[in-house]
Amino acid sequence: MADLDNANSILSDIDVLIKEAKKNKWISFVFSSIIIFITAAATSWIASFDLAFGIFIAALASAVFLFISFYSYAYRSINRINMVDHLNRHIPEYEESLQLVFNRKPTPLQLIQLQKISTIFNANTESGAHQSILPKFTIRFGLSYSLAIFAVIAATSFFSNYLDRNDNLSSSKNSDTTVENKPFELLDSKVSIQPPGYTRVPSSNQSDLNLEVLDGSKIEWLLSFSRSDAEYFWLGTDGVAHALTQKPDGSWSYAVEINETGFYRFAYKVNDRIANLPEVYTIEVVKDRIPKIKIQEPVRSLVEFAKNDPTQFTITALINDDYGIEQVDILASVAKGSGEAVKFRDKQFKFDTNEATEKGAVYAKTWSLPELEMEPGDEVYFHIKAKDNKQPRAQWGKSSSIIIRWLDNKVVETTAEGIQIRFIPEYFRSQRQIIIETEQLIADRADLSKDNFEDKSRDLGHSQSDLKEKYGQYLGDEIGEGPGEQFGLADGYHGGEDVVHGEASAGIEQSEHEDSEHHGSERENGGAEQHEEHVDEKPEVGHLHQEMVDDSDKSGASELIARFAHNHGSVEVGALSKRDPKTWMKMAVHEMWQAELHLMLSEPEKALPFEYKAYDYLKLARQAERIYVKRLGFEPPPVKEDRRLTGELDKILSYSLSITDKREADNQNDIIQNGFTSINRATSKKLLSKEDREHLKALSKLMLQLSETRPALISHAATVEKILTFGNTRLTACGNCIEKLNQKLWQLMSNPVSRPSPIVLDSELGPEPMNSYINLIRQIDQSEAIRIGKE
Amino acid sequence: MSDIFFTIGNMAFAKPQLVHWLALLFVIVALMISCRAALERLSKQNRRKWLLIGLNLIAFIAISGFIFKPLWKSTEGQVVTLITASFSELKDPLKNQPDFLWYKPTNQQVEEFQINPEQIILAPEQLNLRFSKIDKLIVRGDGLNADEWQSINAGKIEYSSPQVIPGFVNPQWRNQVNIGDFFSVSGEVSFSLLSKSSHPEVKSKTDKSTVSKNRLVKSKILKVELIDPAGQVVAANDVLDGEYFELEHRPKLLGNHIYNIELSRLVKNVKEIIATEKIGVSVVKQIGLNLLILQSSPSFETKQLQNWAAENGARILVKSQISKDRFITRKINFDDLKQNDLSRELFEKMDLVLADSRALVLLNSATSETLLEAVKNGLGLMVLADYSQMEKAHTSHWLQDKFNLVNDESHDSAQVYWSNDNAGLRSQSNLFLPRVKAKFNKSSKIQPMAFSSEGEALVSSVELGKGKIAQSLVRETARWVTRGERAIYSHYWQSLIRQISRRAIKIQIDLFGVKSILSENQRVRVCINDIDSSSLSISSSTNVQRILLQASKSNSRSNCGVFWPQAGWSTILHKDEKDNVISHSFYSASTNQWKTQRQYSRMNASLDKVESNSQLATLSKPGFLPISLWWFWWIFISCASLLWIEKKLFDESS
Repeated sequence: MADLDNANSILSDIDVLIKEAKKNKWISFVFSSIIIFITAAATSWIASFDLAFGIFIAALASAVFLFISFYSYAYRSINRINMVDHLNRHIPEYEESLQLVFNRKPTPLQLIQLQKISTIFNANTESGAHQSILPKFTIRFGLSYSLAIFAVIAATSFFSNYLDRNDNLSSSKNSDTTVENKPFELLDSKVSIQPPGYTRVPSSNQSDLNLEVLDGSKIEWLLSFSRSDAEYFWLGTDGVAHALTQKPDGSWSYAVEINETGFYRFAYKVNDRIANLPEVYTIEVVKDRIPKIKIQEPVRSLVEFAKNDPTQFTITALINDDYGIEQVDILASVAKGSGEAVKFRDKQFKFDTNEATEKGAVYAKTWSLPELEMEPGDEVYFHIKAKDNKQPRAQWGKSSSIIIRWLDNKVVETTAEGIQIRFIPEYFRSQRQIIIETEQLIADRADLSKDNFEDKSRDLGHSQSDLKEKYGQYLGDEIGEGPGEQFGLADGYHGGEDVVHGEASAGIEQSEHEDSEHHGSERENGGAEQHEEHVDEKPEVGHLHQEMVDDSDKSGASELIARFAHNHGSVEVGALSKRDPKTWMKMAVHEMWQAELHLMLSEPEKALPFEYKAYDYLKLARQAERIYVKRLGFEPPPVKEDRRLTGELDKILSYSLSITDKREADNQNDIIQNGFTSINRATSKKLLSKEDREHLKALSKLMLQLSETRPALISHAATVEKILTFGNTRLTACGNCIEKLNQKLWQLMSNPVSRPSPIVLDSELGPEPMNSYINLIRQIDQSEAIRIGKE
Repeated sequence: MSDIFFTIGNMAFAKPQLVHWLALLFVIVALMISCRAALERLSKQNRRKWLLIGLNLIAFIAISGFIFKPLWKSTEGQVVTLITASFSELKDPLKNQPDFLWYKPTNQQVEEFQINPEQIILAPEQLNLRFSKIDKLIVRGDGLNADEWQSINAGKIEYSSPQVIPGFVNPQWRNQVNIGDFFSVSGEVSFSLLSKSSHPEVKSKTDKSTVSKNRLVKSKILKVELIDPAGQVVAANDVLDGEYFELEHRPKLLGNHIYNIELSRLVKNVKEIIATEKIGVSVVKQIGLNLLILQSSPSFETKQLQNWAAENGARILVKSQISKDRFITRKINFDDLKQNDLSRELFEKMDLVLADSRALVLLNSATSETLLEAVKNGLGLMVLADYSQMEKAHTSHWLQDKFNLVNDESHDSAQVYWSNDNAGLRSQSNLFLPRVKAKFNKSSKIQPMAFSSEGEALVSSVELGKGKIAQSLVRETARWVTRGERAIYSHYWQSLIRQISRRAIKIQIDLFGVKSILSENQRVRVCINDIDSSSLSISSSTNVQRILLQASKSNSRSNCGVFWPQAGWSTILHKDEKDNVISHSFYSASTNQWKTQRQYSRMNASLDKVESNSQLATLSKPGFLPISLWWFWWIFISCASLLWIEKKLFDESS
């Protein structure tokens, strides 16, 4: 028992030793891990790793180390058996027999040995010999691991920096390449529009690059582009490049004053090469109109005062302008005397009063004839001039002339034949002009805003009204009788081409329009209606020639003969029309009423037929007043045939002549036709040919010219430019611009004249193939008959 | 139809399958159980007992019918129903039966009516392939066109016309015009308002007019408008339903253009568009005219004509007599012409000779013979009349012989009427022009071309061989020009020139079988009068195809081929041996367009077929029609409901 006690005592001491050894170990481990942690953290920080990441790495390293350490063999092997072996090896006195303490049933010899070693063991225990051979606290492994971690982190950092540097180099190269490949694009735009000061219209800003501005406006663009490594330019209609100015924030700006409708685009310059950006933008310039003057009083153009009549009269004029009237003058010219002794004296006056109304300013002045230093028998001609406030150069408007005549108790003489005083002032539209502008308005409807369209329509309505009043005066309507022979017909007829039913092509033939207008009124009345025969204004078939009627013939035959014999007498003598001019003019005025009504209601399509009719009646009136007179005087005898063609021919140099009829190359119709053909030939896949380019350039030029008077056309000019830029009709952000352009070209084209051409067989079965077919059938029939006959 | 296995009376049964027998067995067992339960429960109530047994038996029969689907004998033989286009209301209980077929249904119809693919036929021939003998064919919808009807063989035909699609029928227009020519479109308006409840059926032997006499709720004035490619109305007509209309316009630009023709009406002052159709017109450059002017003295009239013709591409040779045997010759745009003298070679190069009477009567006989010979070979000759041919010295001249002018002092001016191509006679000017105081003696050979307002011929022509000679009494047409009516002047002369001048002999591409509407996938025959040409190419927006040509059997000078165009514009191109390209463009309408016309032609063809097909078919064998299963179902439900009600109401234990 005592031996077992000894063994147990030794074992318990061994356990104490084991604990102590283990304690030493994990103290070492912990200290080592701390060192590792510190080393890793410090190294990471030095290597410019993220601090948190570094701490994480350090903590991870420490944790791994601890984990490995506690599970390492060195730690796990600290147990009784290994401790006993360790003691046996380091203390020879135990004579390699300390493991006898594990033997629970020792032999007597083992007991003796056990007693022996227990004494030594106790003595060593008291002396502390065992502690000296236990594993000591050491940080050796910690240091070595720390060194390893330091090396790893440092190497990682080094290589990382190296790789980063290379990456930076290559990425910087790549980013340079990306910049180069980036397309040139307009990213953002802002346009500031400053109208001329005199208009008192405030400035505005917009981002839309298609502009509608007042004449003389200053425009400033502020733009940003996708690339900053180029120079940018602004190109106007003339194609001249104006450099944009770069601002510190990288944006680009350009400012210019605009006076003409046109289009513009942007371009960039890289490597000394200027390339256009694809988009083309339009600038529509709204011109300042000249002042409009309408003389309200006196109403008639000729006012006569009898000798003893009161000599005071008042002039009232309605004057309006877009932006303001600066000056209004009355220019009077007093004519004294008669015949070759006439003297003229010019004077200038101002109005006495002016009053602002809704329709404009009303100016008034009261005059007396003596004040004008006139005497009975004198005349004064005056007209009104008004200047607007346009800068830098004002515009003058001029009214019609008014004649004041102070009679001298003589009969009113008819004015001398052949004298025509042009009473039509500059702005006065003729009937032809009204028709042309109405057609243009109809054609441009899609391109104009609603307000703009209605304004223009009403403007035309006013013009029609003015014209109607002038003719009314001539005809002596409710205003009063008055001679008007001195006034020319303001129908706009210049003896040349007729007003073609052109551009609007709302030029429905007038006969159809007569139908439609009649049926239109019927439809408004509702109910099922039948067609009604409309009355054409053609001369009736068979009309009575009173001079041919034989009064003695009671049967009525002579009247019939007179009606249908159609004897107009000599063609060279007689009026061309059976109606007198005034009748035609009255009919024209009647049509003008209707035209004016529809124009005022912004219905130019409905007004157009009436305008045409009025124009036709005015033409007929003009022709009605012509009388063709047979040539009188010497009538040479007819040439006898045997004497004919016997003249001398020695002065004829050549009997043959060859000429080439060349029409002007810039004929508008040809340009439009060629442009139309080129546009429709250029498909999305096929590029424009050189010839097509030439045609489109000519078309673009034409449209620019036309847009001066019709700003609505500028958008189509821009479309043509875009086609030229792209080289085909595959335009970006176009919508249906090509289709609209085609439609506009169609509208611009005048009606074609019929051309001489030989007959061409129709695509139907023509007579030759038909005859051949019939012959073939006959042959078949005959052969069939022969076959049947044989059978 | 499945094989008939068993018939009993007018009823027939198809061969049942095993599952049918099993189902029947099950139903019999159920019947027995139900009857037994009824017998036990109502042993003392005979009436109710037998009522219940009766209901059970009826339910049994209903379920058996549901299982075996019996057929009923038809007295009409084999009846087939064919649904065609525009059919919209499907009330027929036969829709799921195999004899109910759809002809080219749209995708929408397939989805809406859930059409079984086996009931669809794509060609009329398939009808007779499926049914070897059709005793009665019921056609609903638009019907079939004449070609399709030819492929169908049926006994009695019953046709029900559909709701009329309002629009245009019988449209006609020229597909190709020269620039400056009038393009005219004509047709009829078809617009009938039907009350919703009426669908008049047309039986066989019905008058064709029955269909057109649909009950009119109200007739109103309609408007037909021609809209140019720019979207503007260029011509309009007010018409009534069924009325003929004609509109014309002169296209402004060369190229291929689409016009729209629109039918509308005013409803409470608001325009309601009823139908819109597209019309494709190809405007081509006119062939240049080779004109020879022979004048005994220069005149303002010929000068104006020269100006107009030269400005518009004509090549002109003017010979003005300056002495008895000398002419001054002036060539305009005719540099390549070598001949100057009036020889056969010169005449062969010309399309038209314009001469005054005096110049002609003064020609020597040899030249006159040469000229007449040239006219016989196709040359046109236009003579501006004067009094020369009526002089005694020239009364035997061939010119007087042909036209026989006599003095007529009664008229010295006239308003001129001439044919405006399609539109008949009209005068566009109210100006009276001077005329020669003479008239044409009436002769059957003389054809008038222009008239005075009294109907007297002012310009007349006679045919001579292949050519024509015309003489005009009208003088000073140039007054139209000075008056500002240049368009009228050009139209007048163009109209005369087209009628008189030599027919252009050129390589020409003709489309046959096409009056106006050319549809996509329609068979079109194309011929070209160039026997050396073996193929043509047709290009459309999507592809180019080549057509092989063969010698035409009806015209030995033409080669022809067949093609099926795609919708939209296509161009036929031909290159001759000199590399000259000749093209002919045409527009093909898609199947969505011209629905009214398609319906109209199908309806008419169907009505014709109905009328012609008057004989009744003799039955070759009895036909059987399936009985609707709904009957059996409702009978079973009714019986089961009554049984349940009886149990609930009268059974004390329930």
